[in-house]
Amino acid sequence: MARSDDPGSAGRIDQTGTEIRDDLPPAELLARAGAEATGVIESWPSQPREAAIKTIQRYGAPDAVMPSRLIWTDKTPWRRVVVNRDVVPHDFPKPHNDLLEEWISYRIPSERLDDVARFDGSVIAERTKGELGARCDKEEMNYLALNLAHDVIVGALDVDAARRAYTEKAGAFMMGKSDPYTEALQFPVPPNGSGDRDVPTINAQEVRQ
Amino acid sequence: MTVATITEQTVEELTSTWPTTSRESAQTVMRSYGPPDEACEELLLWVGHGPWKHTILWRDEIPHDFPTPHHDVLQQFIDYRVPPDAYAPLAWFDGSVVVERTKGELSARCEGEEMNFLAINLSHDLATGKVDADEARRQYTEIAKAFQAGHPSPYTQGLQFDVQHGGTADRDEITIPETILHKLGEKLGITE
Repeated sequence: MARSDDPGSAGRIDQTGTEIRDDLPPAELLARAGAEATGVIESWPSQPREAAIKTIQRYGAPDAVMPSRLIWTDKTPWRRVVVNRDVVPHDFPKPHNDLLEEWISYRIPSERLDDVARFDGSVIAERTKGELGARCDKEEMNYLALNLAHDVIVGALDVDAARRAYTEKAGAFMMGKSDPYTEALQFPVPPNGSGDRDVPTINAQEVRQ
Repeated sequence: MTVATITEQTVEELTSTWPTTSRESAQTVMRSYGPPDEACEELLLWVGHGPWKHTILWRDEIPHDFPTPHHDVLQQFIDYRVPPDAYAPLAWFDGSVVVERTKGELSARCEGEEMNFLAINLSHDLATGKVDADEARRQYTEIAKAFQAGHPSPYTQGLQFDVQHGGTADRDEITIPETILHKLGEKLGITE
């Protein structure tokens, strides 16, 4: 997959500095992504296959290829991007299939997780690892979910207001209207190291004994 | 890379450069469940072995100090629907327990399967109101301490409740009516 250091060609650069190769036909993209990814997604259902092609357009060849998933690592702002072959039906705010997972570094206050789960069941928190992820069918909806999850976590919105905002912004996006919440993360993403190790409850002497 | 036919030997080669805990854990899991069903440089994946829906062995180790300092590498999943008010207590009980509401899955990530059994069993006790988060942490500490001293508990040897297979996913509800989407799409000439 061509990146900006490919002397033979160049795509457009989006606001995050990522080179987007939407000028290339899918066949060319797949060839650049390597035979391995190509071979895997050829047998996938159409929706995850198309999501894989879109993600290759955006982030280049995946860093890891498995029969059930493609994985990209450290693609700003994401720590990890995963396209899954197996989809998860989700009806909020409209029926769709969750298949694109995107994770950021994020310190999770555990006491806010009831509200986060009520807001959107496809936002996933990993406290020890220090990651917050969203799984939807489009990157724009993952931006929206994480931006609003952050608003819920910091107390800027309650659950009902966040669900209303998601509904309105997702509807507007489907009608072709842009919104900062669907275009990029609207809060500073902490560097890696947001994990919460917790505390030992068995003391060292007990462990040695 | 992907591994077309995965054998214990190919896993040994694949994990030869992995950190110690994840490399050794790969060997331990293979002794129970055989070679993984899928593998790449970052993880090994077993599907449907033992009581687990799937098992992931991660290359990258996550430091975790509860109840003693160790590295989380082995994540194991079951189908489970967590009540809406139990997400925060579960995260407080053990930050390595992960809940996925839409998918209807509960997982634990620790160094070995026994501690995952323990975390999931106590998560079930917490989700069903048998214990609160503080009591779950106390019990985790005591049972883990006994396990390290060579006294395993039923809670470290297997899941102590009936695990559902399917029917735990939560699709949530539609908040954008299809009729409105359809009408707007037609008006704007947009096909969704």
